[in-house]
Amino acid sequence: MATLTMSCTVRSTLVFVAIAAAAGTQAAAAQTPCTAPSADCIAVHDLQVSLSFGYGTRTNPVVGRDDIPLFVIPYLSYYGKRFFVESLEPGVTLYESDAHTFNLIASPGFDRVFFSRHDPQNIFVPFAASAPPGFTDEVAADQTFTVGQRHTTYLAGPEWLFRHGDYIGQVSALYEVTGRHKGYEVRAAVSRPLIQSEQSLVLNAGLTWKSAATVDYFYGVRGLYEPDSALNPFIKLSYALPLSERWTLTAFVHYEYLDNAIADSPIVTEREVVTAFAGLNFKVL
Amino acid sequence: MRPRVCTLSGDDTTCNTTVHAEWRSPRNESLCLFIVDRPEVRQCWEDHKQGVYSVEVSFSANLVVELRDAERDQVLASQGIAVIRQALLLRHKRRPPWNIF
Repeated sequence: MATLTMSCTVRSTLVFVAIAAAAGTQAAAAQTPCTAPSADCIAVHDLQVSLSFGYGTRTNPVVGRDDIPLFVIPYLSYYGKRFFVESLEPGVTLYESDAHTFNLIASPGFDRVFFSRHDPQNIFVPFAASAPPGFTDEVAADQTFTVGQRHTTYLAGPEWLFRHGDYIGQVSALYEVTGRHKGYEVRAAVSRPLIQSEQSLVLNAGLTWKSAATVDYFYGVRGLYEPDSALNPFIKLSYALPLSERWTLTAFVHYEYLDNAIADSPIVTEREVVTAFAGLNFKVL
Repeated sequence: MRPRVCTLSGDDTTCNTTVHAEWRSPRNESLCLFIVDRPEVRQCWEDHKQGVYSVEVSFSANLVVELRDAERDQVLASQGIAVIRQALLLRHKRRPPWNIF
């Protein structure tokens, strides 16, 4: 059964990647050149730093852990001719045209945010949830087990972005390089602006596939639960309304549906993760 | 004469620079130095074999500096100062939807 589940999720991922690749091939015919600085285009050597002040929350599906409040969200980006950094994600561009970009990127594993308030992705968010080092399984109440510490992980690998008219797609295949679990992730998403005037409303939809090693590191329980790989679909809606040169009203909601491989873990009580935030963004640089 | 080129970078729209001009002649001349379309800039010499002139100028388009024989209204020399706008190199920005930043 586990083998069947894995083959289905891998097949689904490959189908999505194939669809994305097909769309990308067509994109070559409809290029979207960068002609002026915008949300999608940045001047080389331009450093952007901003802070979003407001209120939001990220639900925490892990048993015994509080939801993660969001008050301040920092943002930094720098793009050189090849090198770039986008908040916690550095990378190198191997090839870029109006329709396609191929990068090598490094990206943090996102799951650790549910386990430690000291994760780099939580460190800028004051009052993020703290929790005891172990859990008591609520499902099997007669069994008590300690869940080991989850370390910060980084994944690295190739990323392909393609643009076709208003659509922007991205696919990355990442391998865990910090030596914690040596698992894989495949991330794929498509975005499209629903409103693109002075204000913008952008819809993102995508999938994250995590290998069994990745899922096991975060959600497995030794001797009790050995998860298979997981395929999580998500959808994100982002809104922005510039109020002045430096201030922008901003809001987003991100919904992720957890695969059975994660939701069935005895340390997981919710199968959905919702992250929502609304506030004001201040452009520092 | 110098400079010969002024390069605007980033959001710069105006060149603010000192234009330095120098001339020599084997015989005495009565000459005037002008900047085309800038009547406020004018320097004249009476019976000189050489002249030196420096002036602070702000400009956003190419300048032409002329040395004229004032009596004959004849342009003896003409040099330009080109304004070059540094091309803004743009590239596509990533917008990974997975993180909250």
